[in-house]
Amino acid sequence: MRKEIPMILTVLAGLFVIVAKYLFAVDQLGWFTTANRMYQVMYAMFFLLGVVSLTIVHGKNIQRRRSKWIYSLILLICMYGYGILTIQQTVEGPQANWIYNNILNPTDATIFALLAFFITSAAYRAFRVRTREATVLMITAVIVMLGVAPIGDTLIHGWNNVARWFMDVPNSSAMRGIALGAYLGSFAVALRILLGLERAHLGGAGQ
Amino acid sequence: MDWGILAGAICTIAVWTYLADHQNPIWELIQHIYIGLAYGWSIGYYWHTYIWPTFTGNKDSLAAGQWVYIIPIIAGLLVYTRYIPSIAWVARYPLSLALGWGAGYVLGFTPAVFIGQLTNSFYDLWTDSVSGTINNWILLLTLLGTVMYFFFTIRRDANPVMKGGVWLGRWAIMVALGAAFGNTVLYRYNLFYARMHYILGDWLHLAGG
Amino acid sequence: MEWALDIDRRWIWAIIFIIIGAVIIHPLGLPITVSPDTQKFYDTIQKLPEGSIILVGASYDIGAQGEITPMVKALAYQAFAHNLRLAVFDAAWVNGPKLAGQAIDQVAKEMGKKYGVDWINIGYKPGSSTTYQLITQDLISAAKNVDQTGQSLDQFPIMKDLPKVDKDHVAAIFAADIGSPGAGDAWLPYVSQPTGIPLLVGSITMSVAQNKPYVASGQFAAMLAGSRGAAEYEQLVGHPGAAAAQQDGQSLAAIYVTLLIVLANVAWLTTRKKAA
Repeated sequence: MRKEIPMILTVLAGLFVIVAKYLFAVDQLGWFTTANRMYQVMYAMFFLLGVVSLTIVHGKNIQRRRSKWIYSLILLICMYGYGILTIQQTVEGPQANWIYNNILNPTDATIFALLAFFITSAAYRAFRVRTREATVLMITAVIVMLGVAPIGDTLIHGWNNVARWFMDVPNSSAMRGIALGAYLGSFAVALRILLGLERAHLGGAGQ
Repeated sequence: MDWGILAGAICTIAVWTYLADHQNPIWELIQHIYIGLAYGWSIGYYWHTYIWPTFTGNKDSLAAGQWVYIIPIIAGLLVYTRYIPSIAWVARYPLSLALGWGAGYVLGFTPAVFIGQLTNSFYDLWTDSVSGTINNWILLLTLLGTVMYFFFTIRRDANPVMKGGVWLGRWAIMVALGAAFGNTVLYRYNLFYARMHYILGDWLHLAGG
Repeated sequence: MEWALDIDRRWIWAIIFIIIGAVIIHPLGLPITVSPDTQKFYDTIQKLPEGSIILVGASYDIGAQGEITPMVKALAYQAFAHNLRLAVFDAAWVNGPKLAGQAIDQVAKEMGKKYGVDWINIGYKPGSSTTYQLITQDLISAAKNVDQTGQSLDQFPIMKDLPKVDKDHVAAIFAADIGSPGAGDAWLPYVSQPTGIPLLVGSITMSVAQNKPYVASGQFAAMLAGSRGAAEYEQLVGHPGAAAAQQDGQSLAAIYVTLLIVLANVAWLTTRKKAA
């Protein structure tokens, strides 16, 4: 009951999509469309998972007065305060939009941009011509960097074309080889799920 | 004074304090504000663009007579039982459904993309131009080499073909990873440039050109 | 040269601030040549019949807006100048449609284009692969008949011509690609391939290497290759903007990182020799 029914559901759901796709390419009865609509509604109901998890984790921090609990309080106030504001005004409302454009957006964008610093110091610390393979990797990286940026072509006319050749020929075929392997891997995992061999999702909660 | 830009500049600099010290209180504060706001925003977004219209919309909603949606609504809500230990196993029902559905989608739709990649790998090995011919040979051999590199069922030193293929594949992968690394460096700098432009251009009006 | 191996990384970081700050204050304005890929992207849109609809797949997030938003803006300039219509949508990245909508709104106001007539923001809808597939069958249902702010879609004239995403109603798809889910694993298998609608991709620089095989196979009809591609596209469209400016930063970054790698290796080799 606790493991068998979920496994049957997994197999049936997967088989339904495959049968709908391969045997009824034209969805004349509209079953696949209806099933898609229903799945979409179910998926949408998951939208509070992150909110609930954060509330539990940070709620416990506050309740037990763990170190830095004040930050947890700030997080929950921001989450629920902004949630209520956006529900009240929609995300395009004046205050909701102001917070989005002037706090959320700059903060998020800057956090992602921090990686420029770490990739630079990593390149400085880790890129060494220890082996022939590492040397090839490094030389290609330099050729491509200077070729993609306009400076390469300004310094040496035609550099851009050299970089493009690296991208279009050896890079392209190696990336395709990796992608083909990844596709086969994803098919194998999907098959394992449908055959009931993949059971990780049945463990965990409520064992 | 544009208060919005000022607020954005303060947030930007607050994030940069992370570079000086990973544990400083300004960073901790902005990090928690950010996570709170990001989730708060998604609540409002989901609510207006999907959840509320599913119940009350004028088309394709419960209010419009689509009572069948009660089934997926209940199925979806079952996922929250994972927070109640005594009935946490119930959450497996919607998750299993989602997992099977996703696997079905992978097997149903992605083979067409895979086959498109395969059929494009039949290269013309004798073209009108010398460079085209050389390029196509390189494309074919490096592709085969890369694929052979990921054969795990045949020993790499089993025969000269395997040996040569794996050797070529390793070099091709190094080139590809080098290209990916070079591009990644530029990407990160482009994002940083955008933030610096916000500070120096939008806020301080120092941008030239 | 042991000193070079012991540099505090904060010095390396400080120089990043200095060089990027310097090119913002004093731009270099290096010339940019247009690559065949970008030219193809531009030509494909230019050849679309007037009045046709481009679906803007805003599969990106705030973190990648520095590269993707300039592409969306340039696309809006070209599309509106050519009297094409735009519909923004995504089913994987919550922030994408809002960011793309803001960029298009700015261009639309500048060019006198009306919301609901010349463009629309259907917004983000949950469901990922299922929803991408569902829009090819019934877009109004997939969107629950509301746009990003909760207004009924059926009140907007543009939606009369866009009941679903198929070849009869959508002339091309522009999909942003910042990783997974993106153009290659969402828009291509679930929308473009089943419907046959040409897929134009705006890739972040980081994903260009992975996306090249799809351009070679023609599964991506054309691709803007990162910020460089966006800068070339801005140039073709006649509105140089954020991406064009970024090229100076890219140039100095490439030189700086190259010099750092050379310095580190020279230092490493000399100290290794000494030790030996």
